[in-house]
Amino acid sequence: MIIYIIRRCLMLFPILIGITFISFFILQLAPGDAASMMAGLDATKESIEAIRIELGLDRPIIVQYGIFLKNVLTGDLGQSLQTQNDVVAEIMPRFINTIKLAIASMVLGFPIGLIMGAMAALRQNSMVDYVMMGCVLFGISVPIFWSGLIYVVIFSVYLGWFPSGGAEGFSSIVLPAVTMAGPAAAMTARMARSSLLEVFRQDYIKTARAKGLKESKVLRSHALKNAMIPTLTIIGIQFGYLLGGAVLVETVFTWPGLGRLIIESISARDYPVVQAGVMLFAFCFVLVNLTVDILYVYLDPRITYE
Amino acid sequence: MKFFQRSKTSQFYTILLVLFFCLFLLPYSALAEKQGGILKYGIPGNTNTLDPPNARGDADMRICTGNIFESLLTFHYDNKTQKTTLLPVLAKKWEQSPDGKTWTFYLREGVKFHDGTPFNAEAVKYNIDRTLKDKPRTKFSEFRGIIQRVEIVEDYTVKFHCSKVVGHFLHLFGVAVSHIVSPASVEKYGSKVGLHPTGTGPFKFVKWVPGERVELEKYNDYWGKKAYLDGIVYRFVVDANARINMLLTGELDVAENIPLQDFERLKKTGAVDVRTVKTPELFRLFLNARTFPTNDSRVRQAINSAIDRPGIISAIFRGHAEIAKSVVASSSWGYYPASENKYNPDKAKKLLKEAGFVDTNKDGILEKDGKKLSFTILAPQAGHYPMDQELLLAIQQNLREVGIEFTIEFMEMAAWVKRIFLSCEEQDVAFLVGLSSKSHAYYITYPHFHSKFIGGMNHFCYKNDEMDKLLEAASIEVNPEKSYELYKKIQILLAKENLMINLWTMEVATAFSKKVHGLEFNSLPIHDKFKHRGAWIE
Repeated sequence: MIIYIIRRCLMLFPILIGITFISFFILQLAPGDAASMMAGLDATKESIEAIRIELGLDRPIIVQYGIFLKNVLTGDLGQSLQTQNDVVAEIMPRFINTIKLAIASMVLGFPIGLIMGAMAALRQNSMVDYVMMGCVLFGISVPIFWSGLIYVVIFSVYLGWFPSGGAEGFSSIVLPAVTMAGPAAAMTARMARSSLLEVFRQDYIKTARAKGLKESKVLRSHALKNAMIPTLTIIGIQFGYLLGGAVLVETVFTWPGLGRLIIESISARDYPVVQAGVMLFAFCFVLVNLTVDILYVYLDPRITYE
Repeated sequence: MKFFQRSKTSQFYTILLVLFFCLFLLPYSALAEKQGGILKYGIPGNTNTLDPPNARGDADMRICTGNIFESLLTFHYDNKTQKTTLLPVLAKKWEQSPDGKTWTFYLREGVKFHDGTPFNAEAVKYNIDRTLKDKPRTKFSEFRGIIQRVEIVEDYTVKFHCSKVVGHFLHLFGVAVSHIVSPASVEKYGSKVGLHPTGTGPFKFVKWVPGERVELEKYNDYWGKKAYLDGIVYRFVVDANARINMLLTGELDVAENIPLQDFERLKKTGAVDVRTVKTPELFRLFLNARTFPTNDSRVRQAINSAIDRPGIISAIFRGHAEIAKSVVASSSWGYYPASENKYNPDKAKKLLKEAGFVDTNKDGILEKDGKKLSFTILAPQAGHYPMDQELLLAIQQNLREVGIEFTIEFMEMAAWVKRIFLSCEEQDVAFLVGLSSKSHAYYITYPHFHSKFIGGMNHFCYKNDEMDKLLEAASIEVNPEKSYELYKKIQILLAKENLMINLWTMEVATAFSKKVHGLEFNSLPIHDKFKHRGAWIE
C-alpha cells in the first residue's frame, strides 16, 4: 500500500510536466501576446517591442519553456506580468478561497445527496422517490449562475440574511456554497440511488434478509458499503469540478477564487500566473483521485494495489 | 393669549410662514458635511498596479490619481460651460521661457509624502528622471523624447528643459505618469513599488487584497483641505448584476458602470440615485485607406452618412450617448464640431454612384469592376464595449440599406489587440474601437494621422502632406488661440477624410446610495471624477 502511494506520488511529476507543457504551448499558439496587452491601445510599436524583450518573449518558445521549467524546479514561479507581484503571493490567497468554497460545498452537498439517494432507493417508485428524483433533476438542470442570482435576490436583497458578495466572514460563504452544493448533491443522490438499487438486487442482500437481519442492519453493513464505491468515484470527480469549475459562482458572488484569476490572466496573457494556476489545479485533481483510490481499499477489502 | 385671540386665517398664515422657514432650514441642516465613515466603492475590474507610471485602465487610475497621488497640476472640466481649466496642485504656479523650451514650476511648500519624505524639487526631479531612465520600469512615459533634463533651481523651484517646443506640454501633467511618487518608496521597493503606493494625496494606502479590494485611509497630514471620510474601500466586482445587488444590500455605497437597462429599476427603489457622465471615450470605426473598398474617400463618406446615429442612440442607448462631431471628444481641449454627421442615406447612395458602384447582380449589394462593396469589421470580444453586438448589427443594417456589406468578427481580446497593432499595410480590415482623446486634441490627432506613424499607430495608412504640416505646426504651437485654430483646421480636414468614423460618446452611469454626497462627476477620465476628498456620508 505504502509503495503504491509512493508510486502514485512519483507519477505526479510527469503528469505536472505534461500539463505545463500543453498549457504553455496552447497559450503560445493563441494569437496575441503579453507585451501588447500590457502596453495598451495607445502604445507605440517600439514600447511593445521593449516590453517583449524585457519579458523574454522575443526568445524561441522552447527556450522560454526551458527557462520556465528550470525556474519551477528551483522553486521560483516567477512574477505576475500584470502586477509584478510574486506568483505565489498572487495565487495562494485565491487558492485558499477556492479550497474553502469547495470544501464548504462538499460538506453541505454530499451528505444531503447521499441521504436523498438512500431514501429514494429504499422507497423505490414511491412518492418519496419521485419527489427526491424531481429535486435531483432540478438540481442538475438549473444553471448555477441563475440559481446563484436567485439566492442573492431572495436571501440578501429581500431578506438581508447574507451578504451578496465578497469573502469576508463566515456568512459570506453560505450562499455560494449552497449554490455549488446543489448540483453536487443532485449528482451524488442520483449515483447513490442507482448503485443502491443495483446492490439491493444482489444475492447477498437476499441472503442477509433471508437470515432475518433487520433492514437497517442490511442497509448499513451490506448495502451502503458496496454502493459507496461508484458513489465515491462520482464524489471525487465532483470535488475536482468544485475546485476548477467555480468560475461562474465566483463571478456571481464576487468570490475572489482561483478560477477567475486564471480566466483574467488568460485574457491578459499573464503566462506565469496561468501556468502556476493550471499546475495547482492539476495537482489537486491528482491528489483527489489518489485519495479516492486509497479510500476504495477501506471500503472494499477485495481491492488491493499490491 | 394673544396668539389664540387672532383670527383663524392669520393663525394659519403664521404657521404656514414658520413651516416655510423650517423648509429652508431642513436641507441645510441635512446637507452639512459630516466627518467620518468608510466609503464602500464598487468598481468593475481588477487593479493591476498602484504605481502611477504603470497604471492603466480605470481600476488603477481611479484609486491612484487624486486619491493616493497628486500631480503638479490638474484639469477641471466644467460640464456646464464645457471648458477645461488647469488648476494648481503640487505646483503653485508655472511659467514658460520666452523661447518656449523651458518651463519653470514653483512648488508647494510644506507637503509631505505618506511615509514622511518631504516633497520638493528633488522629489519631482527623481520622478521625472525615473520615467526618462525607465528604471524601475515605467510602462508609460509621455515625458520621454520631450523633457531632456530636469534642473533643481531651488528647494521648491524646478526647471524642465525640453528638446523642442511642445504645444500640449502642460497636458502631460494630466496623465497618470506625472503623478509624484515618494522617492524613498521607489528606492525601497524597486519594481514592486506598485504594491506599496506612497504619494501626497488626501488618502493613504492601507491594504490590497488581490482580486478583492483596496483599502485607503484618510491622510491626516494632508497639505490641503482634509478628506471628510475616514477611508475608502474599493471592491472589485466584475459582474454588473452583482454590483447592483451589493448596492441594494448596502454592501456598497457606490457602484460604477451600471447598465442602461437598470437605471429606472434602481431609481424606483428610492434609496439609490443614478448619475450619468459623458466620457472622452469615443466609439469609432477605423477604416483602411489603402485597400478596396475603403480606399475611396467617397465610400468612406458614404459609410459616414449612412449611419443613423440618432436612431441608434435612442434605440440602443436610450438617449445616453452624444453624437460625435469630430475625432476629438467634446470634453477634450481643442474640440471643434467639424461635421454634424447627419443621417443622410440619399447622400450616401449618390456618393457611391459617383464612385462608380452599381448593383449589377441585383443582390442589394453594390459592385464595382466585379468586386463587391464589402469589408470586415473586427471587434474585441462581445460585451467588451457596452451594447457592442447591438450597435454593430444596427450599423450593418444601416449600411446594407445603401448597398454596403460588412461582416462582423468578434475576437478574443488579446487576439484583437494583436490585430490592431498589425500594420494597415499587412491587412485589409476595419476595427470597432473605443478610444479616448484624453485631455487634449493632440493625443488623438498627431500619433494617429501623421504619415510617419504608418505601420504603427496610423492604423489607416493615411498619408497627406497638408495634414503632416498642420500636425507639426499644431504640436509646437504654444499660443492657445493659434493652437486652437490649427486643431480646428485639422479636425475639418479629418471630417472630410472620414478615416475614423466617429460614432458617439457614451455616458457612464454611476449608482450610489442617497446617503453619499459630494461625489465628483467630471468628464475627464483620470482627473476629478475619481477624487473622493469632498465625499461624505450621512
